[in-house]
Amino acid sequence: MANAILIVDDSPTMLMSMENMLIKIGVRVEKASSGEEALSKLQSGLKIRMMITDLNMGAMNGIELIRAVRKLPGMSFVPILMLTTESQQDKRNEAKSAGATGWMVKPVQPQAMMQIVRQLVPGV
Amino acid sequence: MRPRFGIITLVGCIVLAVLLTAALGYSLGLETSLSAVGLRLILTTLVTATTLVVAGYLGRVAEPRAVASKGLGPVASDTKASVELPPPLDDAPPTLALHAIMSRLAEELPACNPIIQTLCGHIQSVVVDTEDVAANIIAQLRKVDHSVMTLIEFLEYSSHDKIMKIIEQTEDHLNTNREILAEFLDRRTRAMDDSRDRLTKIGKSAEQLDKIVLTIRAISTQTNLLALNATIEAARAGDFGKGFSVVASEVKILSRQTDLAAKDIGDGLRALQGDISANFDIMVGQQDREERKDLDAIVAAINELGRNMERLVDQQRAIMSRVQVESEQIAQPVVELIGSIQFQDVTRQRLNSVTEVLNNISHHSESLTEALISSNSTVQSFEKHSLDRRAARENMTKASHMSHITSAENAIIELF
Repeated sequence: MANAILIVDDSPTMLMSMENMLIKIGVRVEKASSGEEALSKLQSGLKIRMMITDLNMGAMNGIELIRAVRKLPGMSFVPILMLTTESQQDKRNEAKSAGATGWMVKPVQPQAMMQIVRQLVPGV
Repeated sequence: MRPRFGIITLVGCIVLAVLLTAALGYSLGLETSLSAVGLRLILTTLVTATTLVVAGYLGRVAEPRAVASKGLGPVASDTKASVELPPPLDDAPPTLALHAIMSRLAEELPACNPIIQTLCGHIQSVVVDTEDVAANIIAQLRKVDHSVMTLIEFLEYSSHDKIMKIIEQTEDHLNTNREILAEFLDRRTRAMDDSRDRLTKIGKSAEQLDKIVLTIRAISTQTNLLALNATIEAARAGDFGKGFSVVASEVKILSRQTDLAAKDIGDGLRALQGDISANFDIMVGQQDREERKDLDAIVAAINELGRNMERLVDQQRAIMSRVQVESEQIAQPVVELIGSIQFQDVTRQRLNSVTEVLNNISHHSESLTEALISSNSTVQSFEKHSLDRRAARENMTKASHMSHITSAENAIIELF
């Protein structure tokens, strides 16, 4: 599989945990520790098949990142999952309006993660 | 009446503060930890102080009315409610007592901030430490995972390629040995058959010779009869046949000698045929039986070796399969553990929410202190220094929501 899955989280623990889970199903992983870094990578031509982003991250939060990413060429239909510790309905609605494909609450089980990735990214 | 009012107000404020703090602490999920105890104390102090201040200001607002009745100040024209104030404590004017409390609070409140900042520092330290430990755990788990995967790959390679090649080579060798033995046995059998054929041919040649011997003996008999006839004819010829009689006599002797020689040859041939047959059976037959016996033992040993090899391979396969299953069972929890490390980030965010609440309280405390020490404070001026309840509520709600999802069983996944 040529294209990667981009993980965006300001927590090194989450980045490592997610990377290891996704590598187990043969996925190439790209990491970014902030919304700005993720956006920069995508603007520099990084091609991805899916993005998983945290909600609360420094200057640019996950919802702002999704809004910005959706405006990039070729990113309108790429699945974007929000992975966060929060479960409030209003936040979910906000993420949905911004263009998120789904909402996952931490901690997410490896099996569940693998299943959802396989569901959203054909061929994994 | 004034002292009783003061004590009741103080006790009431403390009780109210404890109740509020308990509710706040519960909503933050800080029931058990040591930092929660410290936080509760601070919150209790702050809420007590706030309540006292509010109570003090209520008294201050109502006081001019009561004071005015005693000729100590103007009465607010819009204040129509009749509030009866308790008599001054220790004969001091009420405003002085309130000012004393406010001064005391203004002294005490700033003492909370270093404690709050220390707590925040500890919380951040815990976050950093747990982050380092989590990274270390993941790194170690990755090593374990890598080792287990390497082992599984090795086992798969060994099971499916290397050992299968060894098995195939061994089976090929065994089959080759079986074929060599079968070929050898076939050659030996053919050699035995050839020897028998040759012996049969020798027997037939001997039979032919025996017939020739019989023919010679028949010729000898005929010759003997001719010699006898010649002797009779020589006797009839008288003197003219004397010489011929001698020849006939010699022919007769030669004929007998020929017959005897032919008989000896025939006897010799039969004896030779018997000896060859007997020796063949002794030399070739017995050797053949011994060789066959040895070869059968070799074949049996090879077959047993093959069966042992198959048992060994089956055992090896069973061991490999078991090790593979066990290794995969080890690998799965490793992945689960790597996933479970996410609790560190959940905890980090909960602690960050607690830190934000603490900072909020700290700012509020500073603000209240400023208001308390200000000479022209009013109730309205305190209102603008009120706690940012919305931010505090959001943080408390956030922490409260997180407290219910730290268990992976309660994880939520929703596709829009």
